[in-house]
Amino acid sequence: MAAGFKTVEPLEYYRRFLKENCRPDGRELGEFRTTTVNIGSITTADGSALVKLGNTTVICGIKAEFAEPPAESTNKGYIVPNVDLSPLCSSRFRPGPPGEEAQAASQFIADVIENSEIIMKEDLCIANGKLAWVLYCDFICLDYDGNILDACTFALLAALKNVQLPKVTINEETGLAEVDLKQTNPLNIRKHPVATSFVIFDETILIVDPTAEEEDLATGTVTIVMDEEGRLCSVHKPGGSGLTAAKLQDCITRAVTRHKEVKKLIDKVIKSIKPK
Amino acid sequence: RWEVCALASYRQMPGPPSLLPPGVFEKNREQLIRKTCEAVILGALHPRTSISIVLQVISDAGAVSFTGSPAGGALQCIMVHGLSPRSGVARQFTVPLPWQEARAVLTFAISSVEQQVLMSTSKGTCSVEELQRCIAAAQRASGAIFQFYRDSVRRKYSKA
Repeated sequence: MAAGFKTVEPLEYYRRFLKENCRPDGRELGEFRTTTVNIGSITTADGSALVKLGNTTVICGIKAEFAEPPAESTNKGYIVPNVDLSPLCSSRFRPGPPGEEAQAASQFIADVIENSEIIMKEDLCIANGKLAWVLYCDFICLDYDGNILDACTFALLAALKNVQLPKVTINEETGLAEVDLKQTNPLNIRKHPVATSFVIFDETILIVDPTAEEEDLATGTVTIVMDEEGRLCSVHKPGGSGLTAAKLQDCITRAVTRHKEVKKLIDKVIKSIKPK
Repeated sequence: RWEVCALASYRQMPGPPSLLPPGVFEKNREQLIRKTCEAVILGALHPRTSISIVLQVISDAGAVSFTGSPAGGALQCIMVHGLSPRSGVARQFTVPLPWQEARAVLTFAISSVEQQVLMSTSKGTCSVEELQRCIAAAQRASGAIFQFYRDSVRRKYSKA
């Protein structure tokens, strides 16, 4: 009976739950799904992480390559993010060039990297004007069940923490780069941005960490990215229902507690792989 | 759902090359504009209607490249051509200095209904208090823009 009701009147079905301040999957409105993170999942990448938010699964691999620094700022490297939403993860995506959602997510991640200064691009420079690192951060969604932005941001942070770059010296005689694979250094992660997404139901009710179903039924979304100092790296609200300043403040308060949860989780995972 | 669907197409002026593939920046902007407009147009009054919004940046003197102006411009067009907006959109960006040098740039779309925040994007970092101050400033400034919308629509229809 309930299944039939859900198929015929999905919105009404959700409203019945929201009236009782809970959701069909048993969560409260401000509750995240179980977050799982695995660091170093891809051994051939320079850094990688797999993040699960309930069913949503995103894997991030980071590949480091050499490149000539940009002409306008010779002491900087590059970070190039790319989000891939393949047909593998959901039937809503089709094969072919990236769709709007994937491109918007790539841009969102690029903005987060730029705004939060998670890594100073100067740290990626090897020899001024000659050689710099390019970090290709590729995100592949393996299972799409909503809240892709939070999962991607978390995967990015976890993967960057896992990156080990070999020591590179420039041979003065030949002018060529010499890579010492035995000596590796981690990246200097300066900030820890964490994203928290909300959807707006019926123009008033805020729900944290939406599933794909909730995203489809909702009338608007908000994503707040915050670093450990409580500074906002991004307040991304692409249209949809309006929010009052007070409601937005509630979102920010939830984002602060989410940051603590994520930071605790990532510190624990990093610590658990260190002793090896 | 019998609602209008808005298609946004946004073209940037040629700027410094981006690291992302071409078109990604525009797609992000298009999504912002489309979703803002879809929320704002009274869809039920325009069933089976597709609205194409084509925006071309002609001259960028700083703030144009922020979504605020495109969204505001799009809405102005929509109103003048007789579609019914549910609420108006106004925008404000904090530009203490020429915006390339600013520490943070925040763009908001403010709804005429209860002055709610419809759309928001940010560049750079700011504190929570600064965000709230910017929203308050945007809400204050939106009054002037709504007045401008009213005046321009009144002028257009008084001639007829």
